[in-house]
Amino acid sequence: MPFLESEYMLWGIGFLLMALIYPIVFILLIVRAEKDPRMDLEELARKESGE
Amino acid sequence: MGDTLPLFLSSRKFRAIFALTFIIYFVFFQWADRILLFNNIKFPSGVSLVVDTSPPVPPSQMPFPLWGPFISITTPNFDWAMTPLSLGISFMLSFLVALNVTLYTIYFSIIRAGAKASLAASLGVLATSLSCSCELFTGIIGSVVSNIPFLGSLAFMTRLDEGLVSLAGVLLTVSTLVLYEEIEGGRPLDFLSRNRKSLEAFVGGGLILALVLIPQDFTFSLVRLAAAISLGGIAGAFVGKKWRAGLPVSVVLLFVLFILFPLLYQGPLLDVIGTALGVFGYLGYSSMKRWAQLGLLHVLAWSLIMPGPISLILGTPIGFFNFPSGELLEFWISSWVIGTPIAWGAGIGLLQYIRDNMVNRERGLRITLPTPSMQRGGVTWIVIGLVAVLSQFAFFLTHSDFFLYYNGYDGTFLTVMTVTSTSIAVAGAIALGYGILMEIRSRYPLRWKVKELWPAIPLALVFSLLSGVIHIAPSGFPYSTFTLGTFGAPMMAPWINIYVPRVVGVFLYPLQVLQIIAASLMSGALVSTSIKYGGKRAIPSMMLGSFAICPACVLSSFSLTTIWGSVVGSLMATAAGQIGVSIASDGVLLAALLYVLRKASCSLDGISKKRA
Repeated sequence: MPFLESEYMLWGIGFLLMALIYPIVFILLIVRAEKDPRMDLEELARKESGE
Repeated sequence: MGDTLPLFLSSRKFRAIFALTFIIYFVFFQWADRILLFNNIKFPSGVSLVVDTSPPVPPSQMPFPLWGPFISITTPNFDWAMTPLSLGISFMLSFLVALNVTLYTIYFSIIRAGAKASLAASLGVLATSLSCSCELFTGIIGSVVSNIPFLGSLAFMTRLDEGLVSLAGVLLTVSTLVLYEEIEGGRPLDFLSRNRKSLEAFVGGGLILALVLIPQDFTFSLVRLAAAISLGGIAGAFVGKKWRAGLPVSVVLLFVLFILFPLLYQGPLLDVIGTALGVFGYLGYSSMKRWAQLGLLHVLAWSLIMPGPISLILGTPIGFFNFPSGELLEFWISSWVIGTPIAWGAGIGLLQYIRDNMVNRERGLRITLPTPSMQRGGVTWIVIGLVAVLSQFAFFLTHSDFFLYYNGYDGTFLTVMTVTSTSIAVAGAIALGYGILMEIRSRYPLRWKVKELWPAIPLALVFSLLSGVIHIAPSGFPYSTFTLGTFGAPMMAPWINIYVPRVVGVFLYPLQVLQIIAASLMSGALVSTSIKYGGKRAIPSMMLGSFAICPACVLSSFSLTTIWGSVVGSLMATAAGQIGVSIASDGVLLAALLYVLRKASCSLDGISKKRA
């Protein structure tokens, strides 16, 4: 059985990524970044503006 | 910087953004709603354009937006069907979407102008583009149903379509108002955090009610799950503790829940697990930093939204275990609908966060919107109002079938026609009244304080009693306590009849309500003006003042039927006659008011204004 049987399945891969995989990746990314002490947006903004 | 917004509004760039979004979205919506079809049609030689005014099936059997007077344009390349309703809906949604996108861009420009760091600007781009696409997707919600091949019954699809169109309209309107306030420098959503506890209790009650009401089938299971999780979140907020491990616990629970979804989706176990993972999730969520919270909300909302549009683009819904595709489409659409407000809230929240933390307020970002110019003049409003009212009148005269002919199937169609037409006519009547008021104001010192118009309230009560809107102690009628008439002639329907035997009977319809409001306001103004200036120019003003107490009861159509019923009976028998007499009575009342005002202003400054 071929992996891709139709054009629909080809599109489906991209859409599956968008609807299922990306959210999981982004949630993990946010959770990890939030724990990282270097990742403080307000501090970062303050530093960038040179205050 | 103080004149930022006027600058923006007059800027060619933002006008171009608005126009471009509007046009593209309009065409896109027509296409997505399957009103505009692009296809190759083989025409007989010599024919390249067909304009048709008769719908392919009887009007009441046409799909939802294509109701009313019909016209279609067919060329070899495209086929475009139009009715005032379909054009109106597309116009409204495109307008709101374009307005929102423009406002977001303005908001972003303001943030960027005051940004302390380039970080704010780049985050702002992200938030703005996410929010803008949220608005675009909200706009398409309304066109979703026409893409579902066949779903239950035609009546159900119609109701769903109307519901989604109104949902999109409401969401976009609220979003416009909030954005407008934000740009102006206000904090429109602050009241939410100020009344936090009561709001949580209120929403929690609503969610419990929703969980009781939402049917336990597959199509709504994701909605149930979302409601249960939100309920858990509110419970977690009441607990008020922070527990960092809560988020991973909740993610694992959700993962297990989705693996076992085919087993769990019907039972109450779904609600229980959902609530539990909501509690844990909130404990973890509340321990996170604000930007991470907003990021999580964005991701959750977008993963609820995306399967819906993707399914529409693919043409078949994205699979989920082995649920049948008809139900799956509803499943994804319902999750799209609940995801939309979350995404919108997260977008606004992110922009507010950027503004509060990364934008320099000292740079003078205090912006005031230009007050809408009142130079338009009353005549414009009068013309707009007249066109609206007369077009609906003509529509009813030429298409009375659309309002009255009931064969047992067309209830929804007739109701939508009546409500749409009545709304347009009411809006037209209000525009007309406003135009007349502006014209009078430009000639007379027409300024009343609110307390001077208080006589209008007892007068309204008197008029309603005398003219038969309210009957005291009626008896002997076979009506039920509460009757709602949903279709009929525009302005005469929808009507409400409340009947409590031996206590009170009330019959209300739009034209009558407008008449009572107009007549009592004018009479109230007449009375207070006469009392105010009566002492100086006593006789004529006072006479007219006493006249004010009765004009509506003597002159308005409703009492004419009761008092002079036999005399003018034939005139009052037709709707046109009734409306004519009723408007004439308003005219007499207005003339009386103008006369008193003239006398009053003459006695005030002693100069007779011969302008009128």
